[in-house]
Amino acid sequence: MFNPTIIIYIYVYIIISLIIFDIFYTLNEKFQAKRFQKKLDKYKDVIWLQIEKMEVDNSIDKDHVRKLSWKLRGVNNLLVYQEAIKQLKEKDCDKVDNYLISYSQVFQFFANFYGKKDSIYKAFFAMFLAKYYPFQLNTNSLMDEAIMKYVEFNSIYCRENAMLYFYERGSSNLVVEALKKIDEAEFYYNKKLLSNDLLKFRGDRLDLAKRLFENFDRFSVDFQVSIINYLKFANVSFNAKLFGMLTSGEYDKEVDLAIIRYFGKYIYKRALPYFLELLDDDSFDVEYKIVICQIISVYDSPQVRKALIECVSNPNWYVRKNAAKSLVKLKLTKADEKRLENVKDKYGKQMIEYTFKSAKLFDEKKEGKA
Amino acid sequence: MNQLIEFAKSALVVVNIFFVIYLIGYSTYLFLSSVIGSLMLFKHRNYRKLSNRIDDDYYVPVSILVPAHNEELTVIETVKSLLDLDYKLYEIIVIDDGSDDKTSKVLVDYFKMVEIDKPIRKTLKTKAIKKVYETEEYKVKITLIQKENGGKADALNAGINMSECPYFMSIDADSMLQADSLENIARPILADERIVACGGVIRISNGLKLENGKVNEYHLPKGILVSMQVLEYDRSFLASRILFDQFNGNLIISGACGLFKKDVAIAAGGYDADTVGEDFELVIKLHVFCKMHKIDYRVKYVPEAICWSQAPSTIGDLMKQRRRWNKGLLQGMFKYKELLFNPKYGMISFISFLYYLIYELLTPFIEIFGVITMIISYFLDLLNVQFMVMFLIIYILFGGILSLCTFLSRLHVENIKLSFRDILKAMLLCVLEITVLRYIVLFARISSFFGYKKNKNIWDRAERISVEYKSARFR
Repeated sequence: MFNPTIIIYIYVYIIISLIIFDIFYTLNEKFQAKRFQKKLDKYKDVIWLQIEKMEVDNSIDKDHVRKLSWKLRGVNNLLVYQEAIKQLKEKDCDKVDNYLISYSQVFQFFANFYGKKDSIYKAFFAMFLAKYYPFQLNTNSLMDEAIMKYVEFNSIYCRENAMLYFYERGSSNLVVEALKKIDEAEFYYNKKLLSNDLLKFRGDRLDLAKRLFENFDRFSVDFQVSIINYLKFANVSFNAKLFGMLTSGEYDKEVDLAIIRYFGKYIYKRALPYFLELLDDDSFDVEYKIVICQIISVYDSPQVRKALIECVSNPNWYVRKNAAKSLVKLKLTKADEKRLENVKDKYGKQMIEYTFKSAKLFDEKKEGKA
Repeated sequence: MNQLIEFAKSALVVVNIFFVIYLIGYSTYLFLSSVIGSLMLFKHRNYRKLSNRIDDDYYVPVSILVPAHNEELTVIETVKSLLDLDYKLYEIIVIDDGSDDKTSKVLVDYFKMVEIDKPIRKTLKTKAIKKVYETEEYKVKITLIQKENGGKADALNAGINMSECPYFMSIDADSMLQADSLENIARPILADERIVACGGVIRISNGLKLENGKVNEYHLPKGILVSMQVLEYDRSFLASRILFDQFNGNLIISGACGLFKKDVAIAAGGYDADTVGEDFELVIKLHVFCKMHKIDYRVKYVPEAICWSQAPSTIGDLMKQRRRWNKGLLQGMFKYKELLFNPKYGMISFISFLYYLIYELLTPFIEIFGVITMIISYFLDLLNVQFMVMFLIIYILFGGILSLCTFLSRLHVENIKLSFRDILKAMLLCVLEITVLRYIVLFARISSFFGYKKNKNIWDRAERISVEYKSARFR
């Protein structure tokens, strides 16, 4: 007959195993720090010995290659090796870089080796290379090829760390190729993260911008937005081209809004009449007005001030808020102030009062600190 | 008479079968949640160790909402701890929900706040707002909303209306976030844009020394009642929620530590001021809303986001707290009863909702029924006493071992180190927790069924004790 206690016994057995695992894990952690330090010292000695040897005869020690190729298969050893490289780089970066270049065949081997392992290990190896390999001195196309395969795996960490490798590597072609692969596979790459990551690119930013632009239409909307955001922060100016895209009406609203934000940083006088026209035209999506009100203060002029004062009475809360915030940044004339005082709309009036009062408090605080 | 005994015997056979299924179901749930919880935490730890995480300066702008009612003793320390968060883009909004004490005054005085006539976007209906104070003297903007008493949900809705960020986080006024909590709770959003809500872990702050947002010293609290709650919280937060997270089935994000996407929360209707379990209600509402509107969404649990909160130290306060929780559970489950056995909601309906119904809401009644059955069986001489006692002992040991297992899983979460004394103490308390605390909680749950519609605007809370938070910023 079925005895329910048997199930409980099985569960108890497994849970007790887990508890024993946790206890051993804790004890292991306590001793691991000591073991790690011991191993680390040994690795540092071995690496430094190789560095010194290389200085004498400039040769590669086959035994060291063999040992590394064996030892670094274990991820725990790779962790120790990474720490050893980090600490030795602090001691003498050039010599360690030279060592890493000389033994690049080992890393090329491991790029393929970890490529066959679980994505958590792939991610770690890519991060190791991104952090410590001296790409500015040496590149290895076979290593690039192996890491390029990492971006095709459905693990965000693996893709992210592989991309960090390419940003450090500094080749615009490789970055564009990797991004295309991610986009084509429809993997998610957060817009903000992508534009921030692109700023980590160590190569020629202008060249990267040009290459991204050449392929712009082949990217999805999210990628297109990130590329424009990248241009905004990378100090790369593409004013005429972007304005043409904005007025063409061929791009997604999100792309248009990113372009408008771009023109909040890079003043392009030819864009102003278009912005004023959009502010005046109620048939346009209100989001355009919200973003224009946010950035237009950099185009200070009587027309801009007039348009913003009108926007303060807009039915949309965000239009009112951004218009008021922009007005605070402008030098208002007596006529402007009078126009502001005459705003009839209750909500518009409240927004103006609040925005100007908080700006005044902010100025007082600044003055107080000065 | 013989017929009656025969009938009783047959009935008891049915009851026995029910209880065997019930207990095996519950044991299996506890077992799975402990094993999966422990393994997932171990996996998380390895991910961190092997640089498998996304790092950025900040993830998304967040408004931190702190609803407060008569919190003059704790609110300043809470805000101070929030100013120590390792995060760049956030704002702090404290909502004083008609306090009778000096909650607003201590805040205004301490942080030198200025009264300001701030326009509020009234997307959610709330009780009238009396005054708004602000200060930009600190790392981030601090806003204080003084409003008429409307309950915690109403206060949170007022905070959402005031919030300027696309995400908001609710925390309790007696809670403190660890410095990396906001970063940790917001990080998953970069990995998955479908996330509409993220919940963190609530840990009991009694016995903790927090300095500059970092754990300086931690030991199991001295009091037995609080220590038992520590074990209970670990089982509930570390294990059970990780299990539900595997199939996007978490129905609870604690009000003391939850991050929400503002536009979706507003579109779903915000917090329901008519319920006392506003956190539970909002999460179910988000599930229902997203499913109804065919939004691909995720509700995520983040074990690395840690919020330290005071636990009741007296039985009276504990009963009060658990009554409130159970009332909230009852109201939420009753309001969304369509979730039961509804294929449209998939695993949420057939696992999460069913679990909460059987093993949380109805447990007190089922267990009382079990005890009554045992007594009847004993008097009718139908009870195998030896087997029963044996079974109960095994069951208690099993529960105790599970609690111990989830408690030890803390080791896999960052910044937690346990002393040998703590482990020993946990070993002794785990059996007590399953035999004593569990029955106190059961009693509180039963009592919550009576008159649950009353007092919706009253803040049911434990007596606060003054806490000291050390921060380099305020020396």
